[in-house]
Amino acid sequence: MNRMHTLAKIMLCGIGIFFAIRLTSSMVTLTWMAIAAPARLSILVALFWTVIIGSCLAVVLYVFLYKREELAKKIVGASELPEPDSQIQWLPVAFRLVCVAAGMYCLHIVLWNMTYTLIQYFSFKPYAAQAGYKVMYTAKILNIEQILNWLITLAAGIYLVCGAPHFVRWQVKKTLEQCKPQAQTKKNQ
Amino acid sequence: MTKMQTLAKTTLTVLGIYAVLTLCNSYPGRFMYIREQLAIMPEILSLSAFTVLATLAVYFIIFNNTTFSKRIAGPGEIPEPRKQIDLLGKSLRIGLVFTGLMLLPRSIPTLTKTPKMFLLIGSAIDDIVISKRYPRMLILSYSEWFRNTYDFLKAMLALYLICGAPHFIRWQLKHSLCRKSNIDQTEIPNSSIANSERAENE
Repeated sequence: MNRMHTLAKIMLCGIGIFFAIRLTSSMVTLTWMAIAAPARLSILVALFWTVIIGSCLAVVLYVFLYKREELAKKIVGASELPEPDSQIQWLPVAFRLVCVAAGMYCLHIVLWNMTYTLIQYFSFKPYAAQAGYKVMYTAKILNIEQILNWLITLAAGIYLVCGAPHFVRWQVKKTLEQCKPQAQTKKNQ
Repeated sequence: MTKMQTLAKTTLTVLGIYAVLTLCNSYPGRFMYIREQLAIMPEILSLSAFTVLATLAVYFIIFNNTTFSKRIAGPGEIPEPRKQIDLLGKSLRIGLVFTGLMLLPRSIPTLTKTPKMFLLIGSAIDDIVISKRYPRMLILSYSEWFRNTYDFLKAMLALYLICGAPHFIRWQLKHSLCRKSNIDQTEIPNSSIANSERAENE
């Protein structure tokens, strides 16, 4: 098993834990709803969904945690892959990749919020003549604070997608500073 | 600790933070029901369940995840101690900065709201001292109080993680060093790792 297999195993395990957290949280919420409001959600329906979510949880744990080795082999393939060149300066590259991923996420959030607000605005425009809708949707849809939040998120997203050179440089410097004394302490011991 | 075990440790730490945030996100709704006194016992039970899960996540996934990470990644070639520490520090920092950056877009509204809140504190103090009445801005339900506190703490956590979480990483490195030295003391004296370390120390 080469390094790519182990990486795939770790990623699969991470995905498994991620979904396990989501499913466990849903199970607790569902049980709570069944106990708190039996009129809204009968005990039987709650039990049914708890069993289904529990089964999903079991499948997720079995596939992603117990059978992760087989799955990793299937994903990566059986042949031995060449090891990546260890001489590459991976720290700035990794930070840059992280920044680009975070930037994409920021842009996604801005796009999602803008689309949602526009849809909301156009959906309720025909009703705008009615007093209730007017108050509810013209006052709250767009305000300075929201636009400011979008602009900040957009600026942060663009900066991060561009690779955030200053931030990466600062992080690399700080990381090297932090790791240096620890390594020296160990060496002195 | 092998390279892959270190990566697994970082992944577990990031997932642990995510787990705690997801679990705490469910709290405000529960507080709303307690406030309205619809069903107190189920609320308390579900709150306890979420608290226990969050505590378990903090203890086993964020802080004491070495055994779990070793089980995930399996055995492998152990690099020299200095490289181990170096890799652990770097990978943890990358993972935590990534988590912080992912939390940032959702925390920006809280961060822009915070200076406004500080400006409003003046009028709240006026209300208490001069008018001798409970300030209007503080009349909030339990769920709103919890939501605001949660958002504020999440924003602070995001900023701390973006700064690289230096205290947490230092603690993890120190903890890993202590664990390593304890393991070394109980190790067979002629093992290859012990020999390599001894040579390095000399």
